[in-house]
Amino acid sequence: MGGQTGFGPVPTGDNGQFFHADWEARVYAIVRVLQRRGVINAAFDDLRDAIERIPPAEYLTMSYYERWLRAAEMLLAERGLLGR
Amino acid sequence: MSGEHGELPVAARVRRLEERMIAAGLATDTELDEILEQVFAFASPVNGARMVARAWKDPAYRDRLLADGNAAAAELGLGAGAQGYLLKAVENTPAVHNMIVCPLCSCYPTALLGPSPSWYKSFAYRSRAVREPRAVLAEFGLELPESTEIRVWDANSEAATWSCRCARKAPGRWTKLSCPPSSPGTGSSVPPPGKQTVPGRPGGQRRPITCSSPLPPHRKPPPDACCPHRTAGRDRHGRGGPGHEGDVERRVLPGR
Amino acid sequence: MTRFTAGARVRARAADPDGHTRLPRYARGHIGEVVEVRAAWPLPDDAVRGVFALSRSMRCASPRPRCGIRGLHSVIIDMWESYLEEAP
Repeated sequence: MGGQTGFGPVPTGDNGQFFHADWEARVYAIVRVLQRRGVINAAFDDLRDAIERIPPAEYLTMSYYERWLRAAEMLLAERGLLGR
Repeated sequence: MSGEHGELPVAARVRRLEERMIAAGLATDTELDEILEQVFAFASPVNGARMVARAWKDPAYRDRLLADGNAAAAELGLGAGAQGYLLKAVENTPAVHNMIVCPLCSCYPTALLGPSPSWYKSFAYRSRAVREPRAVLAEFGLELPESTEIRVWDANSEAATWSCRCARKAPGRWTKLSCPPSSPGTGSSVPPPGKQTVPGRPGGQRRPITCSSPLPPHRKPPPDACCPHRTAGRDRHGRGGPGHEGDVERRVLPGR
Repeated sequence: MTRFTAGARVRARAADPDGHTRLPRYARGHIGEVVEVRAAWPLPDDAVRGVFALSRSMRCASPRPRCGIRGLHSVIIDMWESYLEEAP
């Protein structure tokens, strides 16, 4: 994304919270658990790879933790870890 | 944080995923909660502020911080926070101002600096910082002279870079640690996180674990940890936000 | 064995690889200078494919500060040696 144009001004306001909604915190915890289980490696490479495979049109409409959620869903589905 | 877990479609989606993971034996309720408790308890900008404050007070520690960020963190008992990546500190000077960005994914040393600001993760910052850093800084209220070179560090997950100015001030100007350090991204002041609670588990009781920020009592820094007094994010010259007083230290590469 | 040392003039590969890479698109094909050579890490491009391969991490800077609007700026990128080739 570096160097691309068209994204407008930087949203400089921030309240400094880790998460802006409960569901974001739950997504964070889900990803960390997947790290512990080896589904995502310690360097988060698997998570980044999955995020990058989100189709661009969808990627650009998602928030940060929505992308994490989508990536976690993709990895679990691709590796058949959730059963039926 | 929002109250009701199930208000948004995405929240319901998260809940379903949690349930499926628990049913598949990949996670437990307790483990999910404990992860968040650890984050709220230990990841704080106060950790990084302690290092910066020590660097301001102790020139020898400053030199060690510039030489080896990981070792400097470990000296203050923060080695665990700098584990898994190479921490590099660089210094802002009147001649050089440093910015950090991770255009690919917004990597950030959360354990030492607290949560990454929303702007740091934004498409706008990630895309524009490497192309037009001066304009980006101006949006934070920082106008640097044309003679000041801006160095933009494109960091990755294996290497976190901190930016700050090594301000050596008279001890009398310092106050007790009462505010978080500036972000390593641009140096803008980071407001203290509000109270964060561990959100309830699906189908379970909500656990009211409240972590006051930025100083949980058991993590209160020693009396000598302090940071310069800041007024609305501006330094004593009236310059705003990024890159000035209170920034985390950043190392200037050899001039070119 | 490290192919490049500090001061080496390098070019980021212009390839557009399939799959994950941490070579920024904006740097591909561009020339810079190695400013710091650091430890070797598992290359992310391979790690996600289950291949373990170490590559030395290094910092590379744009060859000189760019004169943008209203002043100079330069970019220093954390790279892997595997992304680099020698530049003339």
